Amino acid sequence: MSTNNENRDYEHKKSVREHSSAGRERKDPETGFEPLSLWFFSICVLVLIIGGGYLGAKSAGFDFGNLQVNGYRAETPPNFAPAGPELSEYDKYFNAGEAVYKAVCNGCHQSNGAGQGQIPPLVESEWVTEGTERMAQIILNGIRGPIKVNGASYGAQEMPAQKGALNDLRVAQVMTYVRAKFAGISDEIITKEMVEDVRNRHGGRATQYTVGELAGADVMLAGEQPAWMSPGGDPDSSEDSGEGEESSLDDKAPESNEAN
Amino acid sequence: MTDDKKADEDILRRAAIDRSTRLPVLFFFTSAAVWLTVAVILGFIQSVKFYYPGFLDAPWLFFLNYGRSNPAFMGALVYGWAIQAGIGVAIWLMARLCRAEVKNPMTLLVAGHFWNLGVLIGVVGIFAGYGTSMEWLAFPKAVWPILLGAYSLVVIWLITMFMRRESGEVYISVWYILGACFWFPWVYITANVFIHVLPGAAVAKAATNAWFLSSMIFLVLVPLGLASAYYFIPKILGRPVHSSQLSLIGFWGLAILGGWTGIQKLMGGPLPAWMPAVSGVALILILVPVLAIAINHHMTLRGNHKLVETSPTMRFTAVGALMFTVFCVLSALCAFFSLGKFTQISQTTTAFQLLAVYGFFTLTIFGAIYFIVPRLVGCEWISGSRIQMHFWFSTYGIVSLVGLHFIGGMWQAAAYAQFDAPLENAVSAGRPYAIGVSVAWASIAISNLIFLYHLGLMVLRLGRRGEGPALLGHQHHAA
Repeated sequence: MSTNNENRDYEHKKSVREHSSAGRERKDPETGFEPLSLWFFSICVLVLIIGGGYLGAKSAGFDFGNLQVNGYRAETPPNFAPAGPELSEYDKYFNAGEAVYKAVCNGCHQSNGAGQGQIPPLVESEWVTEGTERMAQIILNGIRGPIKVNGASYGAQEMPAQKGALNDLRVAQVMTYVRAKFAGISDEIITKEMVEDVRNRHGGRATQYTVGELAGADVMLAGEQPAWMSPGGDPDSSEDSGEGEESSLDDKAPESNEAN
Repeated sequence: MTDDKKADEDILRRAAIDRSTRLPVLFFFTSAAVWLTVAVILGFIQSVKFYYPGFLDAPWLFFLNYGRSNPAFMGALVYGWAIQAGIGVAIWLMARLCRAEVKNPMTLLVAGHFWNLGVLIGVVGIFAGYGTSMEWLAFPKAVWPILLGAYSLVVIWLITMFMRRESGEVYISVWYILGACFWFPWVYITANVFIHVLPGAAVAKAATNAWFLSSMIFLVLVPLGLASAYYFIPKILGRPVHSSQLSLIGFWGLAILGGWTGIQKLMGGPLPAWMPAVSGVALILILVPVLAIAINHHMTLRGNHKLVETSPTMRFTAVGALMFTVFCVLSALCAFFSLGKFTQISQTTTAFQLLAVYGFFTLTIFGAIYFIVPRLVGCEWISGSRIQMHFWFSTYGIVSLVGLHFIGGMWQAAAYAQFDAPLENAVSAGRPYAIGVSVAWASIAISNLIFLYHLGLMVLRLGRRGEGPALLGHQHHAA
């Protein structure tokens, strides 16, 4: 092909040299008209059949609500062992109370319940170990003024009302937690119904309590303990009995994970 | 005698058209080759970072961590190199096949500068920490209008060339180029609007992203690459394309099905089950046009395989076309759940992207560049052996890269499926393959440094002035 170059007009010598690559090219391609083979159509039919089967099997009726593809089901495999032991109902309740404590009470009373400065401690405090009614009153409506705790006087700091921030279940859970954690009382829990009762009677109050207005040290909240508390006081022994039984608290307990 | 004269006229006309495309096409090729070099070097760095984060860990190189170097590498490869080089080939092919000179090439140069500016801002933005987490859309959100504007300008120029075409049959390559002209803006605008401008639910964004990635391959890169293959295979052989019917089936099949693909990647995910199913079936049905294209190329080439050994253009194009078929068949197979569950969340996704962008598209475009550049600069490629090295390093590199990513990804996915084993197992399962991947990247980096050097000499017109093209193998003349 490069022989073209020599035959070209010599006046265009430079441009011919520049075009040498263009000059040796073959002609620009055209389209041929060979017929299609039968094989091609056969394979097309095969592909279409496979495609149709695929769509039928996987499209799940073109239903926007159906996320399940056959063979791709989210289920727990047979040999699956969940990490860690199953928690008892009591432990769940206790943990929920801990979450409330960390979110609401921690800042003043400290995570070890020792208080700080003019904020009284909770550990072994008579306000925790004795009457539960007055404990609920304090949490719901707050308290101010002088108060004696474990023999020491406090009063420069006020405790604000928590009734707007915590519902009955949360208050019950945090009371159970505080009593078990800081006073070792784990043979009974405070239930949602008990707190509901206190709130019905005192929830309308506009100001914080002073010590004189509270219920006496011997006034305990009355109410039925849930079924999973019945066999014994020890939280560890409640594990086996708690499983599978339904109670109103049981239904609400998972909510506590969302607390705050 | 008149025939000779006509042939001479023809050559001069063709040369004049080539000359009119010189500035923009060389600009796109050169800057694309620079971006390719940047991309492969980043590709090497990110591949090492994947298993050895301490690599290049100086404080002032903070931006090279895997989370930034990986999207920067992909952005540079797709937008800096692939689309830009594709635009260059499209301009040249359009001018030639419509027999229309490029008028006012400076506008195309301006578009090219804006495109490069966009890519530069994008890559630097990713390094500076402004990237988004979307695959192939990782450039900062402000970049996409720049790229879209630059591309639109090129599209207007391509269309005006098409309007000024000489009468006669419209060749199949022109169809594909026109397709890419309209499909890129459609795909790009849709994805950016629904991901960056009016983002919906996170799941919808993920689905849009998967659709975008696949549509970019099937509706932008594949048409541009096939336009090139459909031109150069028959051109170098000097015989017509086998069958116009197959060409039509191939084109329309791809046009209809290409935009449905992509979401099969999310099968089993929290999407309505029919969405991955429709994408999967589109990938299976796309085998029909792919088969048509493969038969067409194969039958055109039949009996002339010797040219694959000697002509650089032919060799790159033929291997690229082969990789296209491999890519489509693998994609269709992985649309089936039994295989797809191993390929959807592991390194294998990288294997697919690289097989399409580098294995198919890049090799095809290399073939086109080896044909086009001598016609623009008026000198020949300096050395056939250098082209040979480029070919072998590139081909070995990409084949091992894809193979390692694919098989390593299978191991990795199988380890992910062991839900009760530590996640670390999955990472270490892919580790030996990841190390192999770095070696493959090194090979690709070497090949592209050779290519960039060779192309640079050509653009500076330091090429060979002798007669006859640079060929592969032992021959030095003829054809």
